[in-house]
Amino acid sequence: MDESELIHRYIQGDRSAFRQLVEKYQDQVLNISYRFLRNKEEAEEAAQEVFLKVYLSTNSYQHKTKFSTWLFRIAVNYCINKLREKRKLPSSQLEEDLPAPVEFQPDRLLEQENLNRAVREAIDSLPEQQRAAILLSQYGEFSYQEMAQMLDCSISAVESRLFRAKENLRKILTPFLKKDEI
Amino acid sequence: MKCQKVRKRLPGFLDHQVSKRVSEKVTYHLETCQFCREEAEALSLLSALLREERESVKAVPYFWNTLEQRIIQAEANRNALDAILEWVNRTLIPVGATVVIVIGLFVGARLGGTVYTRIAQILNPDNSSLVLQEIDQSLNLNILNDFPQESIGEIYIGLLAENNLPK
Repeated sequence: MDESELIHRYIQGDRSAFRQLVEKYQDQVLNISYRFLRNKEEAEEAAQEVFLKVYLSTNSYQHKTKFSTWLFRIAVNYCINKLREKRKLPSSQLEEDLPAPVEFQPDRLLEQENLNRAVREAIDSLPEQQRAAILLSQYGEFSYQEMAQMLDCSISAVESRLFRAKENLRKILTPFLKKDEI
Repeated sequence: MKCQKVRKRLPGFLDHQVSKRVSEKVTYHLETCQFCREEAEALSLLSALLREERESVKAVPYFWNTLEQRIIQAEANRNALDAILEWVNRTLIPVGATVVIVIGLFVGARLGGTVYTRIAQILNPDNSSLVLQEIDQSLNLNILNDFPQESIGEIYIGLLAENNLPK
């Protein structure tokens, strides 16, 4: 059964059709949530909430946009709201989510781990809109048009946010931006 | 195309997200501008760096089962709420409206009865003094009456008259 048929049946209330859509997109939604929230349990919870909202909101789906675009838009909005809520928490509660610092040792594996950690922290330090744009661009591999629909902005706004995000990331990751390390 | 414009279009150019016309202009500019070429190279390195940090997670095997339980619960809650709203629409609103109407009629009847009785009394030919009383009260003509006997006002007027002073 192709996706358009599944979507049509899901809108009619067919739960088995919805299940197939969930199984198709669950990993992507989960990974997008994980990129934003940096916590596996929270990402699982977010993915569950997103799909639940999608199931209960058949009236909101407009057929002129792709189902996946609409789905990821809900996911991005949910994650951004979750991040805003987390920012309001006292700092002692937030520290529980941060991984323990890794001491730098001149070992290839740990070096890669340090690099990955630096990249994650650099992305996490970006302003909300730039962070969303870079995560969708690098890890979701969406077109700019799809990203514009997900982020509810124009394509030129997406380009602008990506430009500023990459400028900021370059400043933070300058020590790592050497050809021989890639 | 100037360097500043090219730099802004570089992320889209490297992601193959610009139009053919823009792509050709950027390509031509990069062939002639070393500074922008180095910028493009740096952005490519950055993208490669970001791609390296591609830790991914997979959904747990019971993801759907958990989700389905949530869906069933949400549907049950929605049905309960729908039932309550329907009960309110079918029962509470009509009953409330009826009560308001009945109270309104009762109050209206009481007010109407009082006014009617008064009008009937006034229009009764045997009650001419009532008519005059009603006119006095309506037009506030009682202020033109003399002061009551032995009141302070009467005593004062009397003193003025005795001393031939203007009233």
